[in-house]
Amino acid sequence: MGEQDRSRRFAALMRGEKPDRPVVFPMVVANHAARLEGFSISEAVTQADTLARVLYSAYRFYGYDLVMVFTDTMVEAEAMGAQVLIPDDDDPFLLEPPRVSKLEPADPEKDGRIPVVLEATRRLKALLEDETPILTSLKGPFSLASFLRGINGFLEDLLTNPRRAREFLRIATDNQLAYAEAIVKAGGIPFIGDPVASGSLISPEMFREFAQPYLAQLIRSVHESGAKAGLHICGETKRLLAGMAATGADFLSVDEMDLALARQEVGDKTVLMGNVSTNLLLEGTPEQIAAAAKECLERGGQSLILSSSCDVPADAPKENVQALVKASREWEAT
Amino acid sequence: MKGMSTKALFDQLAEAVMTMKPELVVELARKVLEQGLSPQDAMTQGLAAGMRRMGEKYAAKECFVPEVLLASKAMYAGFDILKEHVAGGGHSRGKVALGVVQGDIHDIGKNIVKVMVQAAGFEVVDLGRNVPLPEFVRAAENGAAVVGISSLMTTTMPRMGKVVEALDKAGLRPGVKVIVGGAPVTERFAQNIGADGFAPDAHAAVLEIERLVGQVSR
Repeated sequence: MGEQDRSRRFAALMRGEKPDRPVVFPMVVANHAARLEGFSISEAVTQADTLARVLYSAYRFYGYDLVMVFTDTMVEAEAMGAQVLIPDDDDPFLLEPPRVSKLEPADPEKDGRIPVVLEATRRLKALLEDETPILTSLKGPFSLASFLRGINGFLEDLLTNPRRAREFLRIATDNQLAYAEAIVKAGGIPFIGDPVASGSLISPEMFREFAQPYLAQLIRSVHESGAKAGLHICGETKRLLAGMAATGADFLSVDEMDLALARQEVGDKTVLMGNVSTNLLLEGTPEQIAAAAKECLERGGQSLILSSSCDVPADAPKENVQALVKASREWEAT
Repeated sequence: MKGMSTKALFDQLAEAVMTMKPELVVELARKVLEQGLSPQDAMTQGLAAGMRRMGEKYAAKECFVPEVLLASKAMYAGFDILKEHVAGGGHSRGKVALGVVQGDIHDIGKNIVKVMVQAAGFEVVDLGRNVPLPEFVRAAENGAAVVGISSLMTTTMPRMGKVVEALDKAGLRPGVKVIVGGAPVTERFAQNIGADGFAPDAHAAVLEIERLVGQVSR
């Protein structure tokens, strides 16, 4: 019996079936892929052809089961008027939230670098056809709202001016509804990252009130367009897992935590994604990575995408990423 | 009975910080001045004590960043009123420079550390976020006993090592101690880049800075 191809393996997992071997995808994104292929990060995050090229080459080189189109967390805020600095060879970052009298949702085909992300998705889709699922990253409404308002101000608003917080969440959600639709049209699976809606920063109650409903709305709309949706939250997620599952996301990616505990929280059926430490990928040895991957597979259960806890660091040694991919090939589940 | 009411007033100040009420903090701070009580004591036993309790609650996940941000605003509202009345500006326990490395704008963690370190009686030089390397060196040259560097991104973490190197090259160490922190930073990473201290959270950062200041002999 031949190996399942990658799309079928992923589809089986999404249906709740057991694939022939664990789906594996260390979250290699623009920065790591650019370094691997000898491009600067700024080239990869501003040029669709370079972005598609480095992501495709990294995928061929490592041979993992998914591809992720992700440049940086500031794409949408920038398209809506935020000042973002793009260093020559480093991740872009927010300088100032938009200073406009009235915020408007961006036009995904025109504004900022959203077209770069969409065009790279289309190019990868043309190259991969149905061989491999493509995850295209977008921000959760909570994180986008915080970048549009200013993170500290937004977090304070949750307690002192929830009405204003909701106004920012509304406009952020409107923007992401249009963006997610464009991603699905381009052939991508929306993969929602919500780094500010983290249990390290806000309480489970705040997550339930200010992050979850807007995520649920976004994911519902993705489902209506016939696509799946993933959700990743950085930092502490243990107390958020029930809320994350309630958003309706088809797979939940968690940062560093015991996957057995995560499994307990969400039950057997929910697909989890994770979570070999990004620090270990940066500083550890291939042997340590293999051991950590094995532990994830043992503790995470059958419905697992073996992955990293967050983006693979730009400078993580390729031997470590290879060790993570190899762990899924060698896995013999009982 | 004056001792009792003094303590009661300081406790109310701490409570007002913890319940994030800047107006009440201002009112109580004025009362401290009206009653001729020590503004220095009101800062440490009232405002700072409240903020320290907030830090403990945050570490125990009993409160979160929004509460800490608002409590620190309330604390500063009181500081602003009391500090002008402290004779000689009060005695600082030492100068601590804090900054987020260049390329990184995640300063929530740094700001929480800043509040806690100030609350513990240190003078804080806030270098901000996205701080170019020479500014850390300049802060050390200008009398900082401890330089605290944070990074929340694995991509910018190596720059912390560059700061340590630059301080070495400038001949400022061991007179200046370096403490590092930030979500992806580990104790092992801190040792590898030659930092003197590491703290996983704001509460631990204060204890570590107290330890390091004790080692500095300038």
